Amino acid sequence: MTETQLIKRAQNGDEDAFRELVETHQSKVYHLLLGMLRSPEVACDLTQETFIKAWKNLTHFRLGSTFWTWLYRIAYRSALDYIKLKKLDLTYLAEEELNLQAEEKKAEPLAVVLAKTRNQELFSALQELSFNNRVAIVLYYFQGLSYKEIASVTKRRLGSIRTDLHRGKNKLREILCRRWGVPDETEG
Amino acid sequence: MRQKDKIRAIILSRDAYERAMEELHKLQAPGVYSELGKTLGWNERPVPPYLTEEIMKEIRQCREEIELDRRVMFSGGFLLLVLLTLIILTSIDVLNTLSPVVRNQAITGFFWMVTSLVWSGSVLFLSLLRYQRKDHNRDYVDHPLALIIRYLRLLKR
Repeated sequence: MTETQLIKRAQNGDEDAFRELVETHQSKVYHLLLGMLRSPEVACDLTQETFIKAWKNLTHFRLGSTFWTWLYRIAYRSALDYIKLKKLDLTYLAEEELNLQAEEKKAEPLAVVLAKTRNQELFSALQELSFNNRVAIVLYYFQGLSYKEIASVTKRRLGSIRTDLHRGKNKLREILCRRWGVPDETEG
Repeated sequence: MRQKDKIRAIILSRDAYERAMEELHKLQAPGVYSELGKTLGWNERPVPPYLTEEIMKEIRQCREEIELDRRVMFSGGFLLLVLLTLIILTSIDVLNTLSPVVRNQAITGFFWMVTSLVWSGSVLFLSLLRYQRKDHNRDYVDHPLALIIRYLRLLKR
């Protein structure tokens, strides 16, 4: 059965059709939220919230547009609302990450090595970026979306997205250079 | 080349970094985990196995709540209609016993009460509608209660 058929059936109240849609897309939504918020628990809760909002508003979905883009839009708005509601800032997110690493360190020596490697990864360095820069990097580089698709998900102007991407990319390299102790060419 | 060496090679020069990032954009897609993406830390993480069941459970609960809401709304509306009819009939009875001067005053008071109720209801409805449109032109809507709470928060700012 095609996705359009599944959506049509789900729009008519078919729960099994919606379950199939959930099973197909939940991993994408979960990873997007994980990239944006860096917390598995929050990503899990918001994935759930995203699909519930999708179910409630399925009649608003216009067939012909991509279903995952619509889900991404809901997930992005849920993440934004969560950050506003919790008045989260980057310090909080960074602390969460540090706590996670501290727990791993306590656990076993292998985890120490894994945590250290993870700290030097590009994906892990994302936590030091602002929310907008991080979202642009995750959507453009890690999810491979085009500028137009990002604009459709975030409802932001193309110019702002380009700026966020440019700033985010440069900042990310600065962070990695600092973490690795590599001299940054752009400095001085 | 080990993962660590790969990352080091990428960040060492700006050109290599730019090239790697462009390559990453081309290779990645939603649900796709390329080798380069994995090297940079974008690995597929297991989705909690209970997630689908939790979502479906919430949806079933949500359906029941909507059904209950409908019933409550219908019963409440019906009760309100009955009450309103009773009030009007009683008012007519009461009005007939009053002197013409007092009756006119009562009718004027009744008129303004109804007008103010309709006016405040319309203002509330229109402002909610306006806020909903302003709220990033969403193509999905939240529960009216959630909208009211958000609107109050906006007023507080």
